[in-house]
Amino acid sequence: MQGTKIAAAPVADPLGQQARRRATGLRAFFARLMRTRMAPVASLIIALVVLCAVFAPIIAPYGVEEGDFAATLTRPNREHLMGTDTLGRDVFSRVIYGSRVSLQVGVIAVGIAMIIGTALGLIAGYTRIGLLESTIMRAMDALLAFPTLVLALAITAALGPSLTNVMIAVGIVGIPGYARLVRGQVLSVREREFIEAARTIGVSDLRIMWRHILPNVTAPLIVQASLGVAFAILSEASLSFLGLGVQPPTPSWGAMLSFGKDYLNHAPWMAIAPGAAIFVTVLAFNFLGDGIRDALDPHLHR
Amino acid sequence: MVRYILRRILAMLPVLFLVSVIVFSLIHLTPGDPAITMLGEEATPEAVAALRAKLGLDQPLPVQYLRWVGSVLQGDLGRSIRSNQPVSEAIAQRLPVTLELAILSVLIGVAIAIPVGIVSAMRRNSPLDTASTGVALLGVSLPNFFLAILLIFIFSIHLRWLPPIGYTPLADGIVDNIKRMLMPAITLGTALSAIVMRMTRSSLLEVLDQDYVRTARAKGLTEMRMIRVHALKNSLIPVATVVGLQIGGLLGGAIITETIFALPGIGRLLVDSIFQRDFPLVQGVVLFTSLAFLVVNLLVDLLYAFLDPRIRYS
Repeated sequence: MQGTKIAAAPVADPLGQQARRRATGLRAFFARLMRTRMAPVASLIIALVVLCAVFAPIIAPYGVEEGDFAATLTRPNREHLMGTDTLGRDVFSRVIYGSRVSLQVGVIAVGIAMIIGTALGLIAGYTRIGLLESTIMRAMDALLAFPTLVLALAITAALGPSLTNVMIAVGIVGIPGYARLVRGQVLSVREREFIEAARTIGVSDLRIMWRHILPNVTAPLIVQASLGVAFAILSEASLSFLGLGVQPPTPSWGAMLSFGKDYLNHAPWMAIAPGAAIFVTVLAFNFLGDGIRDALDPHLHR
Repeated sequence: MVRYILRRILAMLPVLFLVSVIVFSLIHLTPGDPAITMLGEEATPEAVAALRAKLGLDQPLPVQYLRWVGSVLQGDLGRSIRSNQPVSEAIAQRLPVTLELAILSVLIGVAIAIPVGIVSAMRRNSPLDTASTGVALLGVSLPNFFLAILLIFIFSIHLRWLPPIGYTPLADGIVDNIKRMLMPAITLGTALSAIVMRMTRSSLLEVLDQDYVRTARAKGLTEMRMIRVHALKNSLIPVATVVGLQIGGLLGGAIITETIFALPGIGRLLVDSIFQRDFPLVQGVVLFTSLAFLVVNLLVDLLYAFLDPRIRYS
């Protein structure tokens, strides 16, 4: 024992083994993440979108509602990078402001889904009350029995179209994914010795779930959340596109696309600019999710 | 196999019950009086009272639910409050359009995905493989409404090859019908194609690692024959599952596609009924789509168990 200790602590560490061992935590994870093919580009794009959302009033050259009736449906040019719409509003500025809605829905809807889904999954997986478990899991199956967009539409139809209700609807649709994921993970860790040990020394169930089980399920949760943001942004855009999401004049990419589709003939930029924004953002979150999964999964490092 | 089928159907019952509760509650989730929501604020109190009585909204909730489930089980989904048409009839009228759209998109998707997936797996890491994997990734993330608009922009406005929107029934001429259905089917089929292609590729790669493939090669079979006779059959089992699951997903995608291309299908019916606050119709369509979704998924599971007997006994 002692011998190895001495040998393992040389003044010079030519192989960098110590550093490597120390870096198995968060830093190593980021290092691995940045080595994946698409994650660096995806992170850059997401950072840009976040910057746009936060600093929209500074970045956008015009106001959201600032219309110039002398310059309606202008082609993209130096003053209007993405042209103007039927009311002479600057499409580029509206796309910048639109990032706020998308990110807000992405973060809040995923938050709702993750918090409720994780809690349900923990309860279903950890407490050994059969009835509770099967009730929760059948309810999740029932939510999964609807095509996602149909369920989101039905909920927004019942609650009425608004940004808040879109976030609630998209959040609810996401719950079963997290619940199933967490329950599956819990079932695989709950029989392990360290849980048994914690229970033997009298740690409360709540504390075991929070301190011992939850940390073991965070990795797949992060992957799911990143892909979930992409899904939420896409769902908001779909609902707004159908007219059941964010209501005008709030600029949402989906609503702008819907408005622009009637002017494809004369002003294709009105639809193509917000459409490209949705596409690139969703793609970035999907790439990031894939990248995180690869970086977390040691089996894939070959 | 029969026992397996029965077990699977029995397992569906609690889910069906919960689905019915969710669909039933939709009408009661609306803030305020559902009758006023449906008729609008300016409706007369008499009209509101009449609608409440007609829909049974004046009854206690459990009674309402049991009545509703009772009539649903008899195939009666109620009547539209706008047109007074039976909901089941409205669905039956629109269903052929959605079915045609779904079948065409699956055909287009699979016809592209499987050959490309096979070639990608056979020529792994070749430029062709990289290109098709990249395109598939883009295809998965391309929102269908954006793809639809790009297609209209390119094929209708620029090239003027296809009519932009609208529907011609099959009875009025198959060529016209196909012309109108082509872009919607490509819109829906693209994402499906991307997913199926990835699945075909990875599944075939896995099978190509198996010992019996090595044996087949060792006894001197040509690569084509080995793939056709030995590898393909086994590798297509998970692909069949993915295709089946995607068919369920097409129901959701059809909402957007039918709305953009003005096709009178189930998806469009749902959106229209939501805008008209026609709740019996909304409930009927939502219930129908989820039942269809469940049945398709069940069939996929059964198909899987049929193709791979190991599933049945585990």
